[in-house]
Amino acid sequence: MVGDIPYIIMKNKETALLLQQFVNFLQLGSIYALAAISFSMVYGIAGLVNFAHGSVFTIAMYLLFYVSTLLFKFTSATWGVFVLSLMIASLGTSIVAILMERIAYKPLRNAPPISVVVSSVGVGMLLEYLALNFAGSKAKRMPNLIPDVSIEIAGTTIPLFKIMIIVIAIIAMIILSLLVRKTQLGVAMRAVSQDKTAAAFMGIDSNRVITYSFIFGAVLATIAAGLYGSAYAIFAYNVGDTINWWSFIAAVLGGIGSIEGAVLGGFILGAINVIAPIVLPVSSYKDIVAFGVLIVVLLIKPTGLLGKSAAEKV
Amino acid sequence: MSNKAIVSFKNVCMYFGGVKAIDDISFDVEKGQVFGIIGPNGAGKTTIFNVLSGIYKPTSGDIFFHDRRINNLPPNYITGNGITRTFQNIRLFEGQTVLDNLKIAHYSHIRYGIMDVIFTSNRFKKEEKRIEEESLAILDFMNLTSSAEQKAGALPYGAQRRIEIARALSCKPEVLLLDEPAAGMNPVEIDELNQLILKIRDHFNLTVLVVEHQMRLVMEICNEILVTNFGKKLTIGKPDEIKNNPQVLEAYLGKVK
Amino acid sequence: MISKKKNNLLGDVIPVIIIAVILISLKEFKLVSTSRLLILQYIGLYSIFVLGINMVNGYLGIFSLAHAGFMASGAYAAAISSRYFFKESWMFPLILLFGGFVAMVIGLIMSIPSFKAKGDYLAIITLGFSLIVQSFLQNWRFVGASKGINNVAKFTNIYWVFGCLLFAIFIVRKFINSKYGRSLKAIREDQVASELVSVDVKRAKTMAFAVSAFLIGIAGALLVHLLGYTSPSAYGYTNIVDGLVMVYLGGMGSITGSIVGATLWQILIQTLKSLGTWRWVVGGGLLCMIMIFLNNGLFGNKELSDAIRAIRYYFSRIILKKNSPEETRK
Ligand SMILES: Nc1ncnc2c1ncn2[C@@H]1O[C@H](COP(=O)(O)OP(=O)(O)O)[C@@H](O)[C@H]1O
Ligand SMILES: [Mg+2]
Repeated sequence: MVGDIPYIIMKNKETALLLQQFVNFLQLGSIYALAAISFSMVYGIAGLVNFAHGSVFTIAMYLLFYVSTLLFKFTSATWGVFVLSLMIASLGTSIVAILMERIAYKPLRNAPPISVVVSSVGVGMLLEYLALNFAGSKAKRMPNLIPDVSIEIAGTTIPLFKIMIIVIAIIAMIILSLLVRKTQLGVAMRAVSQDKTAAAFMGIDSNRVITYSFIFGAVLATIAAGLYGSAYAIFAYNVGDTINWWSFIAAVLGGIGSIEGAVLGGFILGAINVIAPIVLPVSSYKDIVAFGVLIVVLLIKPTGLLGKSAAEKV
Repeated sequence: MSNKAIVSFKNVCMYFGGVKAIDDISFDVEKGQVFGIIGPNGAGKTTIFNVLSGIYKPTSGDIFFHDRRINNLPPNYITGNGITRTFQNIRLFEGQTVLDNLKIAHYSHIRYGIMDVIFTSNRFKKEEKRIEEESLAILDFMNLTSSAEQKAGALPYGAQRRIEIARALSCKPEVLLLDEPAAGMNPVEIDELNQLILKIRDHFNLTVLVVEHQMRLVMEICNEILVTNFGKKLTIGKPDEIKNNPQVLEAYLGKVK
Repeated sequence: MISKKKNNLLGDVIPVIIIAVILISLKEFKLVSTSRLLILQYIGLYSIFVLGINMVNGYLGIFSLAHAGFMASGAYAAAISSRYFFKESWMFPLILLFGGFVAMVIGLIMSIPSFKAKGDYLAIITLGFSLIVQSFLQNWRFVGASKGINNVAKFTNIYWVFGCLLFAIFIVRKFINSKYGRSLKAIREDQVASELVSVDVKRAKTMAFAVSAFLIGIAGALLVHLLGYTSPSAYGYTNIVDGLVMVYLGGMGSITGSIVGATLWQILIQTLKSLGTWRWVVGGGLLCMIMIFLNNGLFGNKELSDAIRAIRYYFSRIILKKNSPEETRK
């Protein structure tokens, strides 16, 4: 966030700082929200805490990096490169996600629920270190994927890409919610997430729906990666660990499986990330604050803020 | 409340969102009785057991055990102090041996601490020996001795039902709650079960509450019967009174044929 | 039941003596190279680590990822204590106990979320705990921040490692064969039913986490004093996965399985050392494969003694059959 300071024209220091922080909050919040939705969606439909979620994100980062670097050799149309590399990277991560589901998760559908979670921890490790071995441990710098123009609001110069990040994230969320609400696939997804057996009786092929949920998750993770890469250009092979962690917290805070919950959790984390470093002496204590908030919420409401609490029937 | 009552419900309600699983139910159970609870499916019978054993906290009203209010006590405390149950859908520890199922249920009255465990103190040995003997005695009483070392999940349905009762008895209850113990039994088996319930009550000095559909069981052995419908108390009385109550016939017996 | 007692004593004492003789001859008569000896020490201390993880993940059946955090706590506490308080080598037991106790206190706190939160939520909470411990250590100047602690006295040797392992096996065995251990297995199968047969679920969980963290803390203390240094990076994802692979490879809820899992994995990664970071690719893949093909690990929840008993039973049946055919009909 240090890099943002030159953008501010110091007309009114207080408002400038406040506005800048507010934009930071929205930007981070929307990235976390997207990542959390991607994780939460797979949970809701496949019923799996996918520990490999962060590794899919990592792979998306690398694909975006390589593809966009390559494309920039031929053209300088930033928007074109952005869209095209998002599409190619989404294709790549979708394939990874489908393979992951087929090979490591599907055979375990009737095993005790813990098995598939453990398996996902293994997949996450495998993918992360594959990325390390192919791309090397040196940090990479993502090319500018969103045109770096600034606009002036209330005497403060705000870099356009931050606004764009927020706008793109919101558009993605709106499209997703339309997909889930209005399309047949969306209805099938909701049916499977509520009751697999009942869905099967209604002629819904839950395997197909689960595959789609992994694809959706991968695409969302790729979009989140594109936005993350625009906000923080420098990344390395373990970038997914952080994202894993933040989207877990965001999703659990809001109630895993709930898309609205993931959005809420994402923005709460965005707020914590912006506020904690101002209030606390060491910036990395924000992890501890976020974790503390999570624990407190879970102690009060074990299924998260918007999660449905289900008393066990006896 | 009559002084003899060992369990009593006072205007107990249990709501799940909009569902009134129990709606203002009151009754007293006297010590030493076999107390029946009947009613159509979904009438709230199991829920009565659930609030009594402490898994759910009633929305309102009070539950007394020996004049002590037990609404807010945790289930393991209630179970360890006199009220134990079986389940409508058998819930044994299937991967454990039958003997271990019983030993687990002895938990609350085993008197040793972690230090006794680490140093294998005399108290530890004595208590372990005691619960083993007591468990074997209960198994013997329930005619299960031959299955003691077998995995509970591998045994036939009928045996599992009896193991559940044996496990409940291992908690040393004063009140035993049986949730549909005769489900799926034929008349001959039900007659045997009737004898068993009475035998258990007399031998262990128990009060028994039993939820059951099978009239053959309820009418035979119950001293008093509570009839519920849609969470409400329809009536309460002796088997003969229930048998001839037109309301009950209409709401319940009529449907069963 | 009673008559088996003498037999047990023999069965316990003789293996211990044999192991002691082997260790002494290996070390004192230099029968194996120093690097082999080192692998043996890794095997021993990771067996303790896995026994600890198994208390919660195996016997109690909770999917916890807190072990990296516990190990870090034990390792750092021990390293600090040996630097500032217990500087002499004869104080090593105190150092180990200190590491174990600090981890245990943290384990006690970590058991609280497990009262209410269920499966998936708890996995994330425990992961969070481990990552928080790591991030905390990375920022704590007093312990060298991300550089970690160097020049820790190298007190650990093979006798300490295997002494501690025997102690760990002893503790776990006692615990498992008591009412506490029985209640863990009951909770693993059906928590609600356990509560309804009077098991104190909170107490059982607290104890499982405490014993687990204590053992893992001791393993951590042994590790720092074996390597002579430690840093926060050792207690991240790789450590978490390391632990999971060993537990699920050997089998959840088995002492024998814990040791077998630790042994196989340590031998594998030491032989694969030349693979460098590829070994984590192998590790991750192996974890998946264990879950898919080896659902219950090598030992499941069985012990070596169960296998021996089964074999003995099998042979006694054969002999019985030969002697008196009527007897077996029953
Ligand atoms: N945990 C719960 N959550 C929501 N509804 C419940 C729960 N437990 C019971 N109910 C509802 O309460 C009503 C009574 O159930 P129950 O006591 O099981 O009936 P029964 O008399 O057949 O044993 C039913 O409508 C049931 O769906
Ligand atoms: Mg019922």
